[in-house]
Amino acid sequence: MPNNDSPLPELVRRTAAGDKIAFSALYQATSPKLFGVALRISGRKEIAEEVLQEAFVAVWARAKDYDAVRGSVMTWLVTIVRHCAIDQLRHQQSRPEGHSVPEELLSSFIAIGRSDLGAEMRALQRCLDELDPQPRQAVLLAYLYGLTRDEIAARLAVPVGTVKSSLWRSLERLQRCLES
Amino acid sequence: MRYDRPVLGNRLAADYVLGIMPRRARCRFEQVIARDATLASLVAGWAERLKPLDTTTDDEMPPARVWRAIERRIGGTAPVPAAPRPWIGALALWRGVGAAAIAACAAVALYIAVNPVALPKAVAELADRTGLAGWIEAAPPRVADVGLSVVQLGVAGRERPRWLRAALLLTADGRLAVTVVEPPAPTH
Repeated sequence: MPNNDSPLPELVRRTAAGDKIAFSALYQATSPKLFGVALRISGRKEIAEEVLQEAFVAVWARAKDYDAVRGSVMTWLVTIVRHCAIDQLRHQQSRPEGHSVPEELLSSFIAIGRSDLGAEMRALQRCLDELDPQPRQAVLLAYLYGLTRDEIAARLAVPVGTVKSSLWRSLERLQRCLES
Repeated sequence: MRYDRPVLGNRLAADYVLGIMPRRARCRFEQVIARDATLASLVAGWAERLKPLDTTTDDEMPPARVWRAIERRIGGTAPVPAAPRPWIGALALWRGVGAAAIAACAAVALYIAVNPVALPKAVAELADRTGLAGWIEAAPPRVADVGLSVVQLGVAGRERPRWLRAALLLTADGRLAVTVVEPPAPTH
């Protein structure tokens, strides 16, 4: 899989060798995006700060395990941060209040024509639009905000079983659409 | 669970990337994808498919104190490329997409109220609650021993406990913060 985020792989490689300057550069280059992701999921700055800290301590410890063949550095980092944020949220058993509705959020970005929404986002948006509204909402609530199936069911006022089955059918449709 | 069934593997990979796997299941799954290239590529595929959603999130500059805290925590732990310790060398399975996520999984700081007299029991309860493991077999006997410690971790489903390094810190409000800083060593 090609990497589009060079020089990040080199910074990870040097971080793995114990180069703190490279690690600092990696942090400088990626922390605004990752802090935004942590903040989106956790909803509170103080929790997002803890999440970012835990994630980068993990990156320092495991930089040698990064495998470029299996994805870009940014995707790898985002995965780490998202899971750290989800863990923190579930451990604290609390949800931030005042979250935007994801579809409105997405629509607003599309509507104002953000220049940083590339072809990939437009393709994903087109395929998301093909899904029924409720399953689409479920996908977005899970990915963007780290909601569990139970939380999604409560939010959408449907049984958990419905969320489980419709979520997977939607993901299958999404995959077929993106690969077509 | 038969991770090698293609449909199931793809479904689990999607669940993993979407973030809806329960933590304990996710930790098990990460150990599998670290050694299963096919499953890892399915995970990478879903991560690439859904990553455009992150472009809808504005960047946000973290406060400088976050980096200072990271610096403090990595201060004395710079990885030494040569001559890894024997049990580190045995961690070949901690690779790939899941590897750092495993570390992140294990590095989450966890808190529990602590009774100084019965610390091992408190830590055992902590371990049970976190899903990291079944129990702590051995831990510092007194709060005075709190620090970077090696604790013996019992893993559910395994006959023998494993050892791991964890930072144990008594917080100002009397809670014990446990941060696992190294993964369990393989059983011998």
